[in-house]
Amino acid sequence: MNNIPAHIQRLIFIILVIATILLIVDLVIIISILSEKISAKRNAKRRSEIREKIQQYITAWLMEEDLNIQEFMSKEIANYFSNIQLKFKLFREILYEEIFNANKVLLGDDQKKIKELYTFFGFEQKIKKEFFRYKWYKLVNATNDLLAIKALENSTMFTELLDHPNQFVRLVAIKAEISMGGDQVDILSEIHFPLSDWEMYEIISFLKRSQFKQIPNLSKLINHESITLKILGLKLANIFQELDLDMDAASFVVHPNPKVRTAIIEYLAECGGNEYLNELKRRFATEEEPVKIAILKYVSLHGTDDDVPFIFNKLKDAYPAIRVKAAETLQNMNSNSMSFLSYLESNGDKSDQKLAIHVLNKF
Amino acid sequence: MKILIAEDESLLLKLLVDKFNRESFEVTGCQNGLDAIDLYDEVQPDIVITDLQMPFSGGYELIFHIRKTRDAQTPIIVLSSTNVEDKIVSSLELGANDFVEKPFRFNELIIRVKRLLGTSV
Repeated sequence: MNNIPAHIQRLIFIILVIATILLIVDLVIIISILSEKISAKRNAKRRSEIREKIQQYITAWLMEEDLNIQEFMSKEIANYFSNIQLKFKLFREILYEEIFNANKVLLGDDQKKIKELYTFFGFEQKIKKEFFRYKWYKLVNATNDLLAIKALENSTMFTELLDHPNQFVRLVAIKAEISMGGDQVDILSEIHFPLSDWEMYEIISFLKRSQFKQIPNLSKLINHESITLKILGLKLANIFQELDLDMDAASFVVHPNPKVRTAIIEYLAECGGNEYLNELKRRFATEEEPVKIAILKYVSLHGTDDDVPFIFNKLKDAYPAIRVKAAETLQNMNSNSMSFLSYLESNGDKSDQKLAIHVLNKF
Repeated sequence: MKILIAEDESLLLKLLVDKFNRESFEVTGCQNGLDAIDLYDEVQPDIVITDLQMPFSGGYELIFHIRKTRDAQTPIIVLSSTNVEDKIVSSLELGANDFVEKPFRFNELIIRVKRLLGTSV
């Protein structure tokens, strides 16, 4: 060793130190990974044990027909739900999840029993505290949970939120107001913000899911000065097949906003008569694509054999969506008549005939 | 009467098993379509209740197995959260006898099961 020059000795020493450090770092990493894995496994096992117990408990509670919740809690199966357990965050978290899992799939008395559990464990009170948090998403989540468990009671706070700058808060406020029922179903006409397509879709889906016997005052919505409320009103009238509406349909057919024109034509197609047939065919050429598609739907439901040439010409339209709609329209119109085939016989154009054969084969 | 229940949500499966046990059914439950196909051959149930979307293989595959591979007429009830008309129609076309949409009432499901089995309601 003494023969090795000093600078080489220093180099060997440095290499040994670095190697030792790397070895220690490796060991630390391996140990931490292993301990992480063991702890994750232990946690998963614990979660699954807790979940199993909670599921047994919920099942026992739902099968119980004669006891109220206080009496049930004195039974042996409820021992596990001591105050000590309930203090653990993980336990409460899983209990909350499972109550919602059950709530999601049950109806009627079974759902009411799930709601009793929710209230009994104090989740309702706790979640209502989230209303007053600064973070908007906590308010949204809390309201959605209370809506799902049907635990939303009369509250005036949502009226103020209808004009909140955040669209998620506005939407949840609308849903809350609607679900609280009564005259508040008319709350839609109190909205001052223009609704986005997404908001409209969500409101319509919510109303459909809620299966309300009383739908909003649609005439009020349709005649509202807000364009988006007008459109929402027409879409709802179409979905709920509301025939008794106080509105000037003729003025909507020529409304400057194409979305209003589309909505009224779709409504008239489903719920109206054929009085607009000629006017809509006349307007077709100058209309925008979505309005054209709505017109084709109207013609398919109210048109006669005389309208076949009009639709047939649309098979050659520049827009693919219109060509497809025209083909579907021809197929619908011809389910009860031979007008399409008669038209073909009278039409000597070879390319027209080829196109028609293609459409017939396709549909 | 033997009943096979295929449902991937563990809590709902427990509830269904417990409920039908109380109605004096001999219940076998599983959480995926693949197990359900094996159990169908093993248990030979009198009626099957199945979810549509499950891990590994779903309710459609189970219905197909019962109707096409085994050519059996065992009554099948689909219990699913899907409210898409196409899915309801296609499961009925494939051979399911009934469709119960989630959320549902236990009592309604029990009545439908008993009706299909021709036992007293």
